[in-house]
Amino acid sequence: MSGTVDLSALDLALGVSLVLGAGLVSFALRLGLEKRLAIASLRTVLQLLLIGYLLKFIFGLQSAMAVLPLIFVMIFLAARTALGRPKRRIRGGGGLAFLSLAASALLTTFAVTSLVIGVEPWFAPRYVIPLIGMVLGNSMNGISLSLDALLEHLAERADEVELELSLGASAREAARCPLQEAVRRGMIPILNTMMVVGIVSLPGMMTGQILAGADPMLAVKYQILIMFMIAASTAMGAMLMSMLTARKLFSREQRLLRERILRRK
Amino acid sequence: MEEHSPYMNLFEVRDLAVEAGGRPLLESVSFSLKPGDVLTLGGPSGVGKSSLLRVLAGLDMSSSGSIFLAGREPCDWGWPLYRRRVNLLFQKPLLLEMSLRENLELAFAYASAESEYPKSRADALLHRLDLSGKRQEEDPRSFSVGEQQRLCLVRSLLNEPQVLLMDEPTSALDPESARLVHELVESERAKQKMSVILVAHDRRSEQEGSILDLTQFRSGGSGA
Repeated sequence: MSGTVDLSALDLALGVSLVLGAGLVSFALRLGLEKRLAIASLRTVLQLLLIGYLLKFIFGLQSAMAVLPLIFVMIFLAARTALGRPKRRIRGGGGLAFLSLAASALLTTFAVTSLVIGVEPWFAPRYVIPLIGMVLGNSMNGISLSLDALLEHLAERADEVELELSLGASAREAARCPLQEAVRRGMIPILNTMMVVGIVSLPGMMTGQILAGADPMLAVKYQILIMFMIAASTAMGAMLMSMLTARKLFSREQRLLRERILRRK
Repeated sequence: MEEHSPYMNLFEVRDLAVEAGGRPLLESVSFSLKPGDVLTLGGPSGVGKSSLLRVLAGLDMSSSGSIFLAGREPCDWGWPLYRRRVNLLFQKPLLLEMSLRENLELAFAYASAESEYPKSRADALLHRLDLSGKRQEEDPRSFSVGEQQRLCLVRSLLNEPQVLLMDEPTSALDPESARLVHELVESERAKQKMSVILVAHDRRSEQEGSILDLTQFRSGGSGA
């Protein structure tokens, strides 16, 4: 198999007609989505073009000093997005999300690129950036769901937590049940995905590799590796985030600081 | 209790300040109890009786002042152990989503537990509170409120608290449940020399003991 058929600007312009089709549906059914669809399409084009140029630029530099800042920004944005969804928040949550994402994504990604794939040099952007991107995207969801579950439990079932404390539980013991629930909730999406991967849908990365001319078996092997990376990093991220958050919500006297759980405005 | 002479104060509160949601409620609350004493907290509603109980139970912090149990502060006991010994029976019965037996055994799974689950004592207490007909595998949250609160009392007493804090424990109970609860608390007090601090709005307490009117400790700012 040789490389992929290149797409010209004209080819992409033809692609626009597909979105116009979606717009027509919205118009016909009076969904009122035309404007949002237009904005979303424009954003898709702009954001992807931008990242395309950026990646091309960074790939060209072949320097860790270019790769690492990009990774930093990716983690930062993922942390912000992760905190945007839960109904409740705590002060300083952004830092915790950043820390959890950084630790879990960096560890799994570099463990795989260095030890498993054996990438040379260690920061080779062609491997590191797409992999960490996929890992982050999933860990981000995991952290978000875990945080939501943890804060919901500690806020809405605070009396049960306090009951355990009053019966002699340490903060760690009283937090065990909420923590378990939080990490479990964070892991559900990736577990669901892993259960049906390849049956219900072909993962985007695998599709991409096949389209790019790779041997399907090679694409599959990479996909397997990636699913495991995502599972590991989601579990680690969700656990870290939940534990760090719980630490902030119990005082030195091992009591629950429910006043620290804030409702999102 | 062995380490403690009956002449000493079992429980002592010195200059305690209590606030709720950042608003000062009470200040300079001081009192002491000997083993087996009963103290009823009085005063109009909103004066801070429940808030004070939560501070005494170690669930909320006081902004100043100190608490001594058998001459030692809670942090010296370690908060989990302190909370076992100064145990709060909540106003509303609170049982976790697990079987009756698991609810009772819960406290004995914690690191602060000083003994194995005392099964025979549990059975005896269940019997005294007329709960021995219940199956241990049942989910107690299907019981009546009275039965649930009686079960909560069993759970508290299994911890062998030196001070039992009760926040209107019988306010929502049928007369028969209320009677059973009061009788058992009274007998534990007499036998185990357990002290009792309670909030009772409903009527003058059935218990012997003194009344501490909290109105005298009201914070200047919130006084009527």
